[in-house]
Amino acid sequence: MSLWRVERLRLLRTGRWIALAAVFLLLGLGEPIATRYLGELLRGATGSGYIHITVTRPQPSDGMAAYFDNITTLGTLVTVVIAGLAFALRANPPLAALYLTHVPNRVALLLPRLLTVAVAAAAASALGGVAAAYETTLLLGAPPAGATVAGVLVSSLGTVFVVAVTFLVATLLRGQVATIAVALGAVFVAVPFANLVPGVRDVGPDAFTALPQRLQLSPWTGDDTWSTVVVLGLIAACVAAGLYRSSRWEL
Amino acid sequence: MRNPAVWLPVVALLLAFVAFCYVELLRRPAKLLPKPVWAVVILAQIPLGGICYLILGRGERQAEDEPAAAPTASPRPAPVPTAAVPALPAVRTRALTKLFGGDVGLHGVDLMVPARGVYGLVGPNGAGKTTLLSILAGLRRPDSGSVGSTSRVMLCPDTPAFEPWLTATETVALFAGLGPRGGTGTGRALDLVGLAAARDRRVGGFSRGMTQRLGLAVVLATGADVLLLDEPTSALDPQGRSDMLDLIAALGREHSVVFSSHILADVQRVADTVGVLRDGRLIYQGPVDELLDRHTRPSWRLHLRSGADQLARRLDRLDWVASVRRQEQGLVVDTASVHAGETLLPAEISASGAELVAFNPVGADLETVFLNLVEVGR
Repeated sequence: MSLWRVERLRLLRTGRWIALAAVFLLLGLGEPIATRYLGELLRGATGSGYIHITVTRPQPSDGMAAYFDNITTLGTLVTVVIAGLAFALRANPPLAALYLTHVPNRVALLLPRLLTVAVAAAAASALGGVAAAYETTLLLGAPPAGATVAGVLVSSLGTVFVVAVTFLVATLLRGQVATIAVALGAVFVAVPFANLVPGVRDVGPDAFTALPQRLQLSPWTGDDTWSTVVVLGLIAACVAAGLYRSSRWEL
Repeated sequence: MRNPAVWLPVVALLLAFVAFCYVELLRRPAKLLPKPVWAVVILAQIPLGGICYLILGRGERQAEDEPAAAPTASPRPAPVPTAAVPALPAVRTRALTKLFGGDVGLHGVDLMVPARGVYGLVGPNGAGKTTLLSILAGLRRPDSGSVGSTSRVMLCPDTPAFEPWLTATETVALFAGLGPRGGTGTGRALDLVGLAAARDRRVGGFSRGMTQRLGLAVVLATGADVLLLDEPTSALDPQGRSDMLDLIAALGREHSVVFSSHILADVQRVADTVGVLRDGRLIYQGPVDELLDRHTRPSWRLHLRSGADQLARRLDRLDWVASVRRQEQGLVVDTASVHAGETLLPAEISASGAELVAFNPVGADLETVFLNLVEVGR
């Protein structure tokens, strides 16, 4: 029984993988339908009164963009909760004591947790992207292949970024609730506010988060490359800082 | 929407998800909210209600609370492959200090744990026992001083906790796999602590006593030479406690066991060496017998058929008699020395004319000594 297997079992036996997959799959299957029938839904809601709503005919790119837009909120929320529950090791001091006295070093303990959650979240995000592409193709026509593949890969990397931020927060705090709350604050508040820093708006993590939607409408630019590099750097920094911080843990 | 390829996957996924949530809700206890409330939430907020339930509300299935089997009749563990018995102490600290603000914490503790045997660590609440064990296990860093160990050290907390979704076998195998090879095997460790019958049950349903036994099995299976057991009998019933003490005594033959407890009778029963902590200071360390000899006054219980009052008056006047107390069937006499009790006291009984039925030394107990030590220090 290795720590890698324990982490797989943590996802499987606690049912967290179902929650993770369900969110991304349902968004992937549901958003193109909502986009396709938005006009009918609105007309049905307004009835036959004086209000007349005209909705432009949705394009294939709209179906994918709706999916990418929604996973940045609901998908991020579920990813942070699941990652926070897995990473807040010190929330249970007796269990943490057993782990920490048995592993040769803390990297050996935390790396399987980090990578398992990151891979699961990225896979769920990619699965949702595939589902969204499937429904979009059926309802709205085939979305642009290159932009869709790039969008799925970027959104998966985005979930890995969220996992890395949660990991860092979990190594700084003890409780599960505190970890989840602060990580959500970091992702939903600190990342957009970073745009206030001059020069960050176009290459920061917020720009990267919006990249999958934008790619449906415009081609990849130099700023997109920079924002990807910045996010990769931030992921590495969060992981390194978290591992360093965990080496200073006391119970 | 007439095309089933469009709506079928969504409907099938939603139905499967809701059905799965309801099956789980029926099979398992619920957390945070009562089951009927979760049932409504799952249905009213598809799919968010089900996602919330899976993440926050899904409890671990409780096993029937069967009493754990007693540890095996011969609690002697399988011999662990070890090198020659080291002459050095297993653990030694020098001037170990850890302060938590003010005077609270540990002050210059020089602990020396022998390479074999049971070391009992006693002290009142807040004396620093758990802090000391945490530092020995490497879970806390001292402010100053050093910790030296010649062996691998493992800690079993007083209320160990495990991943509730692992079985007992998986739990022991997990921690055994993290340590060096050569420990007691997984099955053998579970046998030793009396959990053989529960080996395939998930530990989330274990009682506190069973969890405590499992903690010891984990430590046994890792092959550590130094076992730090923090209050290992605190959650056990009298029979379980007795079995556990036998096991700890047996472990002391092959390992170095540091055993902290508030129950001084337990420490006296199994420990060869004792360390007494008070206010973060180690005020005594040495063999239990020596502690009892050094800090107890010789005492004798006289069972008398008659003449107790006369003998008490006579003994009260003697300078080698520390105190005389009346009891239902005679007297309890404290003497200044063992020699006085063994030689002078029989002569006085004879001279007083009292009818003696029995004359027994009163066994010293660690609790009395401990209270004396702590009180004298204050």
